[in-house]
Amino acid sequence: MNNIKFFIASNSIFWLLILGACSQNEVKNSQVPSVKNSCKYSKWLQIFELEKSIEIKVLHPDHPEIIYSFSCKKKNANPSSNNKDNVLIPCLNIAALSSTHIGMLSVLNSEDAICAVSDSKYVYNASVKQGLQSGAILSLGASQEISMELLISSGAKTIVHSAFSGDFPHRKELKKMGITCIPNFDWREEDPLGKAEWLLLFGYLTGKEEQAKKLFSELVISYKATMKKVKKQTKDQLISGNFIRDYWYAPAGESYNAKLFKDAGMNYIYSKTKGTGSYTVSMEKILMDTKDVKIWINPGFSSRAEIIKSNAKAKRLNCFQNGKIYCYSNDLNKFWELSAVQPHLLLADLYSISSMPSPKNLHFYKELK
Amino acid sequence: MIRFEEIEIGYSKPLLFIPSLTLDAGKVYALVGLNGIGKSTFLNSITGQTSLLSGKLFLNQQELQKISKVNLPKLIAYVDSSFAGVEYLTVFDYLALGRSPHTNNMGKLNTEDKQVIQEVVRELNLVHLIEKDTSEISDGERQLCAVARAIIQSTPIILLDEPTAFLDYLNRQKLIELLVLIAEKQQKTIILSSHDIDICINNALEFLIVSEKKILKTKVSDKEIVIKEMEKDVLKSS
Amino acid sequence: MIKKRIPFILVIALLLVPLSAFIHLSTGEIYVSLNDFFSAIFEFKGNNSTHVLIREFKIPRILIAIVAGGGLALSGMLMQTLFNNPLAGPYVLGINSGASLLVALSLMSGFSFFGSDIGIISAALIGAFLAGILMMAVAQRIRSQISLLLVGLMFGSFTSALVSILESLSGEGALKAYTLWTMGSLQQVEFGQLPLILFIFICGIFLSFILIKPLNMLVIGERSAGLLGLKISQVRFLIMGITALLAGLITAFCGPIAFVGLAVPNLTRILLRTQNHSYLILGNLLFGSIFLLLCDSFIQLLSKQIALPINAFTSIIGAPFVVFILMRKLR
Repeated sequence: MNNIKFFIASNSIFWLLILGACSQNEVKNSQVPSVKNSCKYSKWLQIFELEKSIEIKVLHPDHPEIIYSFSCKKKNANPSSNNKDNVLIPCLNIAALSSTHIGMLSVLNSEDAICAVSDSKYVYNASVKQGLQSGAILSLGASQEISMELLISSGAKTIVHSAFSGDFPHRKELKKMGITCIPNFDWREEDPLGKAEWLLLFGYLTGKEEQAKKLFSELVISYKATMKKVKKQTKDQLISGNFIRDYWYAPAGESYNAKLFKDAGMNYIYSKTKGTGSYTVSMEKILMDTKDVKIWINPGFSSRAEIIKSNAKAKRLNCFQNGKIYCYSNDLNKFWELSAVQPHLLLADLYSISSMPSPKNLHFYKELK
Repeated sequence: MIRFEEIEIGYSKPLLFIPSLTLDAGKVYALVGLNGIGKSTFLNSITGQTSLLSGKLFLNQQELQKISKVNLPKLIAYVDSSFAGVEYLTVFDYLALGRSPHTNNMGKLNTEDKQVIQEVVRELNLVHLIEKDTSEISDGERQLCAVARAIIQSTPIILLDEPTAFLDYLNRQKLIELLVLIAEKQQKTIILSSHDIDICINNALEFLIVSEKKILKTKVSDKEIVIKEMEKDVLKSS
Repeated sequence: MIKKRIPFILVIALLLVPLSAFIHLSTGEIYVSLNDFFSAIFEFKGNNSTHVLIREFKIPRILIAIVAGGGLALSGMLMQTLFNNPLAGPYVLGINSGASLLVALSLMSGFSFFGSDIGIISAALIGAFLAGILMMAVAQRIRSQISLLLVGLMFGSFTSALVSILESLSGEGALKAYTLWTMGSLQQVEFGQLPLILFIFICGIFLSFILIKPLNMLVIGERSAGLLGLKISQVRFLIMGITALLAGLITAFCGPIAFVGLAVPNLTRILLRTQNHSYLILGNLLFGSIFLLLCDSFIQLLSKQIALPINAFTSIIGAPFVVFILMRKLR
């Protein structure tokens, strides 16, 4: 008799558990957004506008199985569950750990939401610089060696980081303290528009999504307008990159820079190479490949003298002797901060460089003398 | 010929006093004494490696202090107790180094140099060893080569520091006989330090006994005399 | 008793040098014909890319490989004979350490020396020179060889420690630049620098030939050589000076290149089976050049797949060889 009771009891429990799981799944399924992803160009950012919340998913470029999920609610955000972080918006205390994050917040006029930054010597934005001086914004030192104590003391509730090395250190502990870490893979985007689209993330975080959407669509229009101006690819050959000791590293054909060159109608000599990182070229090959190159973009220095000092062989290249050299060294900090969110200006610069012998009013670029 | 006058040998404190001593050409002297008594220091002072604390030393009538660095190796040759041999160094090349004090700046051997080497090689029966690697011949052969090199150096004085220490009995005997022969024939002054008193007596060598901080030069027919002299130091220390 | 073997081997080596240079030319990523080669030398036109390629890229690389290979092997030989130690190399005196320290300072400390921009080459030259002088001064005061070796080693450790401190304080870019320098490079030499380099190289060779007799005497040990009339302190000074000159020159223009100075002198002795330095000097110059030319040719062949620094390659070949030598000795 006892055996039968035990049998019924355990079975019931078992089936109840199954039913419970199913119903949870059903609930979950009903939560799967049939809403479309608001992001059209970005590869790694997905934003879903739901009725009561904004679901943000950040995909990891190297590990497709890893997805960071954030649920943004205006009020009454529940404590975060295991597979999703709840974020209370608008975020008023953001630790912006990369120049591009500061840039994007600045075009939304949300510098006041920033409470901490890293690598403060690269800051361009005047109001952030002022905040650093007055102490309203905390300087966290070099991005590779951020001190947790300092970070927590800044009062940050949301940390936006570049995720060079995967997860933010001590992510779980920070979560327990109510601090959310959001990885930002804008630097892994190959499409300039996809990179700029991360502006939308900051728009939602600061509650200024309408402004962000408007800015973004405007820059897309401007970008595409410049592309239309390109009648056909210019004849002048273009090289990009520079020597590092014995080898030349150029952007590969599928990289961010290569796409910019293509969209600007420039004849980049390595546009057909594969890969999204660097294309390595030996000294001999770069000499011969660039013998007819007239334009050299992004050597990574601000003057011809600096180029030669770094590697004397550069002066043997035809593009150095007889070509024009341009780099984003007009204002380096401005470039690092704003170029990501202003690809239309970048493209305009490149278009000017390729279509005029002496381009004026460049936003980021400067000719090297 | 070596002459000592009022000599004190030592480092910070004198180890030996030699008021007057003459060592003749044509003779082989056996330098004996207990360990640490000063035998090596004695030899080193003759080569000039250790300075004299006082007194004058004459090599072939020339005062040691006044002999130039260039000429000194033309007067004295020194043989270590063992020569370990060097890989790829042939016996010939090793022997040829003995002519270094006489060759020009490039070390080139002239006819005379070659003649001297050939003669010594013949006399010492080293012909079959000439092309061999010094690291691949036996200890006895190596020691013989070391002595040969010293002879090739063509110096009136040869010093040997325990040359028989690592040789077997037959080789020891051969070596001492050879030295006696060379000393007589070429009128050299030869001093060898040794612990093997018997073999020195058997070959009728004159003895230089180091004891009580002095050197006693004496002909010896009986081992007992030598031992008694050396014991004087033992008694002193006990 | 005429030994034909050694001259025979040396003649073969002499022929192998231009052959290796030819191999190096052929393994370059860009093909050039012999015609191109000669016209680049005798009828050079600045606007002809092929001519520029040959004159500014291929020729300096080949010539510096010859100089570095021969020079390091020669310096290694000098050190091994002076210290009677087959494991000594051109860097035991800390020449390399001095050069590295000054290069590290100029790249990573942010100071501009004496207000001007000192290039890496000048920094390395000055560092090597200072280290050389320091060691020679020390050598005057130290009697025993082993002590001298130890001082050199300690000097090396000390400068490594200083460099580590600089590394930890420096920024990413500077650190990377320094690390790349330590990997060695045969491609940073300019055609215009070649006459000076060759001049110093030939001086070093000439001075070494003058030292043939003392070197031969040192083979049986410093003490025995001294008793044969060798002027020890003079000879030590000269040997160290030549080593500092050659190794310093090469480190300045190429960065440190590992194992050539250690392995090739041993290889030369094994191949020629002699301790006669008239042959060893020639042998080391030739085998050193051939070795480095062939290593670099290999690197050229692989350059499409992988960008190998010269040090990695010479170490891959040199290290097992040194182990082999050790095992022979221990047998």
